[in-house]
Amino acid sequence: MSILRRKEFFVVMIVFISIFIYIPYFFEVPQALTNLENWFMDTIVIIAAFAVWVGFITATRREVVRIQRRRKGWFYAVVILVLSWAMVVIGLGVSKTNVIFEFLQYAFVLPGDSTIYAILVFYLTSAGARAFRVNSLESALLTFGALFVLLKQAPLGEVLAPWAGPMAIYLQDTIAMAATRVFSVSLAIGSVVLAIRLMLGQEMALVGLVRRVASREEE
Amino acid sequence: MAHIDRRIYYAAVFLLTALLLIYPLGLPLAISPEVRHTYEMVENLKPGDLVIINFCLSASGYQQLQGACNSMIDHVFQKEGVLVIFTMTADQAPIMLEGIIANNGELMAGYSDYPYYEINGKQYGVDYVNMGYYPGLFKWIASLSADFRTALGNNDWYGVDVSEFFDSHDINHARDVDLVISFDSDDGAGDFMNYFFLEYGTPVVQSQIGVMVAGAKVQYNAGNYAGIVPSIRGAAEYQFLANYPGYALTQMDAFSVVQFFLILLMVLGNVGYYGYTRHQKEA
Repeated sequence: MSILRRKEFFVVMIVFISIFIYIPYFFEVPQALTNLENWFMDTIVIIAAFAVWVGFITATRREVVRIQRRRKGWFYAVVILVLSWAMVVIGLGVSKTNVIFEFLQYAFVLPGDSTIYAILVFYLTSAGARAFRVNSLESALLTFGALFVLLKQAPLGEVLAPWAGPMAIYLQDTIAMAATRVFSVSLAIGSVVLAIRLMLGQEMALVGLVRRVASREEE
Repeated sequence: MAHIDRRIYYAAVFLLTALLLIYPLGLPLAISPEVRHTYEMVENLKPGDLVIINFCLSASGYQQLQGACNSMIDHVFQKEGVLVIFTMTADQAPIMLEGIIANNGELMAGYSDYPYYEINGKQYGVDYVNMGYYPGLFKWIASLSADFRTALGNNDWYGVDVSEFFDSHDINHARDVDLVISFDSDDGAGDFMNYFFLEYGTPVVQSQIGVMVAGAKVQYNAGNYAGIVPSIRGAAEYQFLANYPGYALTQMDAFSVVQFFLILLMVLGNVGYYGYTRHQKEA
C-alpha cells in the first residue's frame, strides 16, 4: 500500500499541522511560525474551494442519472442543472460582477432562498394551533415559556401585557442561557476530545480512511 | 380545531401580513438595552477608527437583517473620519451589499458603476473598500487576523488595486481594527470573536437572524460580543435610534399582529384539545 494511503501518514500530518496551528494561537511565537500557520490556513481555504467543486460535480452526476431514468420530479433536475451550470459558465466566463451573473442572482437565488425561509411562518402558525398541546408538565412549561417570549418579543405584547416582559427576560437570560451554555461547553469539550482522538488515529472516518459498513441487507 | 384545513391558517397569516404592511398601525416600540448599547458604540467611533463590516449572510436571512444592514452601515458612514473595510464570508452576500451601497450612496462624479459609490461623503478607495467574498469562514478569519495583506490581497472584489488604502492607513493586523460588525445568518461574528476579540481584544458586534439570538445573548452577556442587534426586532429598534425609518420599522406591526395570531392559535388549540380529550373520556 502506498504510504500516502496509510493511516500513520495521516496521523503524522494531523499532529504536525495541528501543532503549528494551535501553538501560535495560544502563545507568542516567532514571526516565522506565524507565517507557517498562515500558510496552512490559506492552504485549507484553497482545499475547501476545491471541495466545493467535488460537491458540484457529484450533484451534477446525481441529477443526470435522475433525468436519464425519468425519476419522479426529473424536470426539476433539469432546472437545477441548467441554472447551476449557467451560474458556473457565466461566472467563470464573464466574471462574478457581470450584469448577467448578477441578474441570475437577483432573479433566482435571492427570491428563491428568501421564499423558502419565509414559508416557515406558515408552518409556525399551523404548529401553534396543532403542536403546542399542554398534555404534560414538560409541554406546559414549553408552551407557557413560548407564550411569555412571544408576548415580550412582539411590540404589541409589551403594551398589552407588560408583565410578560420581566418573565420572558428571566427565561431568556437565566433558563435558556443556562441550557445554551451547557451546549456551548459540551461543544467545546467535544471539539477538544475530537481533536485528541484525531491525533491518536482514533477518528479516521473523518479523513475517509474507514470503509463504509455494509448494511445487513447488502450482506 | 384539528380538523380545520391548515390552508386557512396560511391564508389568515398572509392576509394579516399584507394588510399591516399596506396599512401600518404605528404601534409603540421599546428599545432593548443591548441595541441601545450597540448604537452608542457606533456613535462613539472617533476619526481614524477602522471598522470591518462583514456579511456572513445568505438570502434566506437577508429579509430579517435588511433593516439592520442599512441603518447600521448608514450610521457608521455618518461618523467623520472612520474608515471601513467590507468583507464577506458568505457567497451570496456581495450582491446584497451592492444593493445596500446603492440604497445609501450615490455614484461618485465621473464613474458609472460599482464600486465607485459615495456614502455620506465617504469616497470609495479613500474612506472605504469592498474586498468581497472570501471562502473558508473561520480559516480565512484566522488568517486575516494575523496578516491582512496576505489574507485580502491587493485587489478588491472588482479587481481594482486598493493596496494604497491599506498602505496609507498602515492596516496590517487585527490590532489595527477598532470594531467588527458582522451581519450573520451563519456565525461569522463567532469566528471574529475567536480570532479578533479573544486574541487581540478587538470588539465584535453581531446582528443575527432569529434562530441565532439565544446563542448570541449568551456571548453578549458573557462579554464576548460587545453588542448585538437581534433579528428584525433589533433592526427596528436600531432604525428608530438612528432615525432611519425603513423596512424593519414598517414590518413591526405585521410582526406584532402575526405573533398575537400565533398566541391566539396556541390558546384556542389547547382549549379545543381540552374539550376533545374530555369528550373522549366521557365517551
